[in-house]
Amino acid sequence: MRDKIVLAAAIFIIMIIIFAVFAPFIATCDPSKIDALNILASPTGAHIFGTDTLGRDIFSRVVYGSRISLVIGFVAVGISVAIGVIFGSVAGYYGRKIDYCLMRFVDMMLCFPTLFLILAVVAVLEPSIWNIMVVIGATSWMGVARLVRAEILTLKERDYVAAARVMGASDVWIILKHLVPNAIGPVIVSATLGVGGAILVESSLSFLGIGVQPPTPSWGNILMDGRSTIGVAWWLTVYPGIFITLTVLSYNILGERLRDYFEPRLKR
Amino acid sequence: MMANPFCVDINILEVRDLSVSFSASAGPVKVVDDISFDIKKNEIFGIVGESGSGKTVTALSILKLIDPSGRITAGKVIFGGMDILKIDEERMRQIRGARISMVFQEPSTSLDPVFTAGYQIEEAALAHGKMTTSAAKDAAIELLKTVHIKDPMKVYSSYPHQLSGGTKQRVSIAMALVNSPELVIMDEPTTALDVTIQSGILDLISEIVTVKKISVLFISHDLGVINRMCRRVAIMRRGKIVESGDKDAVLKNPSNSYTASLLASARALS
Repeated sequence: MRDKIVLAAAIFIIMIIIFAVFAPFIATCDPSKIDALNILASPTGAHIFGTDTLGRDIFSRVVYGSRISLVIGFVAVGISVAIGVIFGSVAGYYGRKIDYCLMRFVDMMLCFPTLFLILAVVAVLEPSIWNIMVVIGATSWMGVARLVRAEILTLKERDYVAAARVMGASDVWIILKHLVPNAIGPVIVSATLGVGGAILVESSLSFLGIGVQPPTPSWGNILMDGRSTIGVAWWLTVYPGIFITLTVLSYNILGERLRDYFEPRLKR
Repeated sequence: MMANPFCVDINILEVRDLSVSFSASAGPVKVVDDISFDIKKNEIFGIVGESGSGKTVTALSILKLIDPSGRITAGKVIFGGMDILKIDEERMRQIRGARISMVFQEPSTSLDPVFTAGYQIEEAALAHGKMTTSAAKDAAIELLKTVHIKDPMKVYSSYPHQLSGGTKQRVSIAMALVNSPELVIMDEPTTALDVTIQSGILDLISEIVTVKKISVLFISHDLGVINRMCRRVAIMRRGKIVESGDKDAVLKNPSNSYTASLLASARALS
């Protein structure tokens, strides 16, 4: 049963990836084409998810929106993993004062309410997709850093690290070749869960109007468009809502499964 | 026929008055206390002692790889005509692995689980930039044959968890030999192995010393193994060398009471 759920989650994610890659072929209409004669049309054969307040096709907007979600999810997590792995491995490997300084910086970062930090940054800079990805990445790496540090603290005592040192390997070589590859399991788990989290943050920001700017469709801003008409046109909020929920859920299920794979002792 | 005395009497490594201290909460602790010994060309020199006697710290001091909390407080380690305790880290890295290498006690942890055995031997060769990738591969396979691995191609592409303890230790030895070092430090190389496997590895080490003309610093707590492998030994206790010299003299007529008690305990078991 659990495997079936994991399979369903994987299939859903693959579907979203196909949506994102082949958006122009899958979308039934131009996502920003305004159709004044078809405002708030309920789901029918022509517009399977209905249309919004400007008569734009919701299905097409959701399909194009998956591009945004996916790109933001992967790039933001890529940035957060990169920063986290560098911080964690340097802190864990060198230990002592360097470790202390870096980890206090991590503690400090964790004290910021992330969403407000993002709001502040986006308020100062313009809310472009690029800025959003960087800000999400730059505020979500602390978990990865702690994880990698903890792994490396135990890994660096292994004989093969001593063996590499005896063979004349440099610190950078040991970190990149022996420590990081051995610590990568939990990082992959955390990255998978992180993709779901990043998509959620992007949706929240777009919903608040400071994320992806219209007319570029993102799941968050489609949801925002539908907020005022939820009483008469449920399809504006329900469809993007379903996509956000199922995507985040799928990444979480996949992440949990990967955790069982990498850390079988914790398996329930 | 007389053996050329100069051939065996060249000191490849001279340790003089070496002291190592570790900082502890109650102040510095002397772990190695004023020890001196020589290792001659093409010999297996043994260091015996109980756990905590400073054997491994001595070995790591020669490579300048003791823990950051430890410090070499006095002494000289003369290798290749220079005091290697005085040279900088960059030049030391060129010596490690290339001219002095090491084999560890636990073969199951001294190989990195995420890389194949062959890759790890190659890596050791490539780290010093003296070989091309294809030359390193040839050297790795050749060495796997040298250490008498039955199916070298298969072991070359196997991960450590797919290999037995004995095979892993043979791979570790191959790794230590890849840059044709002059001295190989072997820190309890057979302690983690079954007795039958142990014997095979010991034969291999003797054979390599003869064929490759290397010197070995052989560390063990096992008097039986030391007796079999070495001609000259040093007995360590609490950081000091309590007795050293020719194996037959030390083990047959111990002048030190500790050596005598060590021997007595070994006899009591056998």
